[in-house]
Amino acid sequence: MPHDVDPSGAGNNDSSPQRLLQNGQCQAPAGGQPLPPLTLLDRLLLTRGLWQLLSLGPEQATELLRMQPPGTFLVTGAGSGELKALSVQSSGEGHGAGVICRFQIKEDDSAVCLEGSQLRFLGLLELVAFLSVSRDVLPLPLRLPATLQRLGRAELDACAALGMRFWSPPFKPSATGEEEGENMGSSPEPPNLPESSGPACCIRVTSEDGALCIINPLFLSEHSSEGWLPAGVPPPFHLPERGGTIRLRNGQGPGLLDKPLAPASTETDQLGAPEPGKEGEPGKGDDAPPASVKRKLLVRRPAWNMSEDLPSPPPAERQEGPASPHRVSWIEGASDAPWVLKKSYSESSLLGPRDSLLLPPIPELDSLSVSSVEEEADAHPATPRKKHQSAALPGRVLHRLSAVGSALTSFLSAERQLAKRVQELTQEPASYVGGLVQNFVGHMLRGGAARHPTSTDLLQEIRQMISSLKGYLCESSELQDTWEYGDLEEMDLGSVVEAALYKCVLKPLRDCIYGQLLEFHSRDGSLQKLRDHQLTMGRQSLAELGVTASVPDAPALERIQAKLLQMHQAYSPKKKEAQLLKACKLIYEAMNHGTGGKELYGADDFLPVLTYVLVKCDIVAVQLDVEYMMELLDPSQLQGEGGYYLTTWFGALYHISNFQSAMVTRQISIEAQDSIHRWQRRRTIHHNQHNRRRSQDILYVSFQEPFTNQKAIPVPAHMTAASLCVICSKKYGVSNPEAYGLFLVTDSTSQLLAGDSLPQQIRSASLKSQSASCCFVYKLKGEDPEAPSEGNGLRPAQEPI
Amino acid sequence: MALRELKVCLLGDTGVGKSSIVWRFVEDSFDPNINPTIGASFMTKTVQYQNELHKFLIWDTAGQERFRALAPMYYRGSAAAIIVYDITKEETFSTLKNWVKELRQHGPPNIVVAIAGNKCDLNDVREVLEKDAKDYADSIHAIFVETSAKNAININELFIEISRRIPSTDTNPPSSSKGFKLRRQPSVTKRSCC
Repeated sequence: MPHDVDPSGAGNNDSSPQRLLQNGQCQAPAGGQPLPPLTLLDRLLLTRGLWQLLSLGPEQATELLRMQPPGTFLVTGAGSGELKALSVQSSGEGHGAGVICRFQIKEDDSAVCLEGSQLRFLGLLELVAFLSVSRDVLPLPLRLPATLQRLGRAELDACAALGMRFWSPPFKPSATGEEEGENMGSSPEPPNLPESSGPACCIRVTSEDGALCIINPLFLSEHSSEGWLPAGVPPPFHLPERGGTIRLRNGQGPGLLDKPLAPASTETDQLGAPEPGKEGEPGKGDDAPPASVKRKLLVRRPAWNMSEDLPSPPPAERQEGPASPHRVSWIEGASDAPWVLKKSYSESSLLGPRDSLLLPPIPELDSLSVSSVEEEADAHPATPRKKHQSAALPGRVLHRLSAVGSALTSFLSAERQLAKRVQELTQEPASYVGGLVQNFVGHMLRGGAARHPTSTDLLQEIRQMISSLKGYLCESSELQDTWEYGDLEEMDLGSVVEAALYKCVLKPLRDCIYGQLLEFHSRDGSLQKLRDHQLTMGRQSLAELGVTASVPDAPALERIQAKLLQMHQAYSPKKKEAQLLKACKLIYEAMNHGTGGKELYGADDFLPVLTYVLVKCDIVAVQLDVEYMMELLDPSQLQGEGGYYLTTWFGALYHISNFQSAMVTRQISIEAQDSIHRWQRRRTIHHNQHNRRRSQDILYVSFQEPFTNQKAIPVPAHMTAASLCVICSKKYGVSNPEAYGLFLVTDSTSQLLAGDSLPQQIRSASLKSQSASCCFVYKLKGEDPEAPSEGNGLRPAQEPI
Repeated sequence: MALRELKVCLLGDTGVGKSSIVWRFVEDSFDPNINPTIGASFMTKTVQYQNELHKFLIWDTAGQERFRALAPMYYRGSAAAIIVYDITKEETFSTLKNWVKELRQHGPPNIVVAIAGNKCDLNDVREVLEKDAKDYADSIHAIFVETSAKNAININELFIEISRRIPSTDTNPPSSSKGFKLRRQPSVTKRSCC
């Protein structure tokens, strides 16, 4: 699968909470013993009694899956002769519940496979596990219900004992089922995120004890077992009276026990909106949920409205009791996260639900000021249903889930508050940074944007401004004065500020930028050329275009065009990139459509189909969008899948604009590759050398390959390479740090640094001695590691690059 | 130890070596093939000055004419401005005088001005006499120093002198160590170095 640059999708996203685990900070609360990891196979095995229901037929499976989130699956054994069948809820986003795909499973003595597929497995378990990870065979990867993904062994055993009852409606509203209820008919969500659980809260998990990092979804799925929270802590909640309003109190005191019951709200949502397709407004429905729920829905804003007129809560709605930062976190744990994450999914990439769970795009989450948090807490209706009494899980499970939820949300809220603070600062002309932003935006709007010789110059200046402002905000006290810096330690400050700056700078400038781009390229004739060739190529046959796979049919093309429209309308290059990846995913789906997964298409097949699609789209808008993204994305975002597809699109557009009849290209032309290469040097390597080192102590270390998966690590002058290696091993989460070493890599050489050498000194020396690009790389040592020479800390070239 | 933030901006004609000075100061490195700055680039460096830590927040502005209009937004909030000229190019010294005029008219009233005659390693092709520049700097009570970013001459001294010009917190007891707003501080008596 050549197109899969990074199948896990989690490779190098600095903002991913996954990093937290790699930092070694993800520890269970104090007293937690080492947690045995639960692998996907383990989990599937433990829950086999839930997803393999051989007594059922596919029709019953369809019924059970109807209200489940996408990816949920069942293996049934009855009906259709002897064959087992795999039923998958495959409704895409926006389609609600309803599309259940069914695949026959072929079994013989030696292997199991899906009918029509060449991929054969030892057993059903392996098949299902593979289909849970791969997004190349089925329309979407299989997923266990979110609840099951975060439970430990004991709870899974308990759940598995439920068998079919697990899926049956009466169970759903209980703690275990709430997740499904919440997800019902909605777009797929990162399944592992412990978003909506919080029926209760654990005081151990507050923003202060550092437990924020447990939100790492990987960690949850891998390690959520008995040792998670200390045993014997009673479930800190009680069931309030039906319809009663829960009064919220300070999370620190015993008032914690008056915690609202999250299932109450999720259940309300679920009952209130039983029909599919009502995602995003689950509170709306016939059930007439309490007014407060509706109000909450009004309050929620997407991120791009972040700072705008958040209604302050009416005084009557304000909660009693003392305010406390803790309250923010655990209240949200109950009420906020589900909404947030539903939104967040739409921002994630083509990485399918399973992958995207690793990359919750936190900066894009809804805004939430402290006041609105309080309001939402109050807005939380407590209308427990009798179904709660049927909760089959021990209180400890609920407790655990809630702890996770609250930790997640306190983390999120910290980020959102930071983003909000950035907005406030930049909106205030009296503040230094506000002056900078307002002046810059004003200058651009007043014609400053038109003074550039080329579109690249214009975009570069804007990118430079964002980078500089980001540097300033991260370094100066202006932002940090108003912020508990401790909260930020585990947050990727840079990426939060970056996203906030998109809103401050790019939102007001987007239209102006597009106007200028249009003018530049109308003047240089490139757009006219593109349009002309679009017409010519539109008349060509698929064979002439070099297409070998299926091309999207009309409805698929429409969906792709919709994504492209969204891409065009967004101002945030990151959101644009997400839409671009979604469009890629749709194209791949279309390519594989009708082949029954028999043939897997790769990058060489993709380019002609992409060209075909582009010819059928608003190609001018796409051209401008690609340029916008290529120049305005943060260099760290240019690595990995996003950067890869961006260059592919660039190549396709280049091909179209330089089209000559009888020229069939299944690969990006040499000229386009050259152009991409120059762009990459300018935007990544050059950038690294000149722009990113704003602070004297920061050293950029790549992982495995030069200039990939770079992390900025504060390295004081006296820090040794050995100490830096320890940091790197944590940052990159390598399990065998002894096999890795720190290398100084230049264009032609790769040198292992001695443990006692000083990386900062080496960097200064290399900067002085050579103009060639050099890069610190943390990577596996060679097969025959020689003892590093002492002396200057460098050893002779070990391997040519 | 108290930490103070000093906002500094660099102004001057294109190609005089503003970015190189900053790079030498922040990174202690020199790249002869540096690209022209786009817009402005931001860097920081923290140095110890007497019993304080001074964190320089440096805005290195672009010298090219098309970015000229943006300069005010950088110097407006600055505690100090380093105006750089190239001792081998007479016209860059004229540009410098225009910058001084502009700062006097539109800059913050108490901004500390430092004049840096860069590329002093190229004494052979000098066009601006050191004495002329020094006299001019004295006449406007500016710091003056000839520098070479390439050979690391007088770069740290330039910033130390700026640190010295900023009144210390001891003489201004009310100011806190954090969020210190330099632009509100009255500058001490101007004096020149060298």
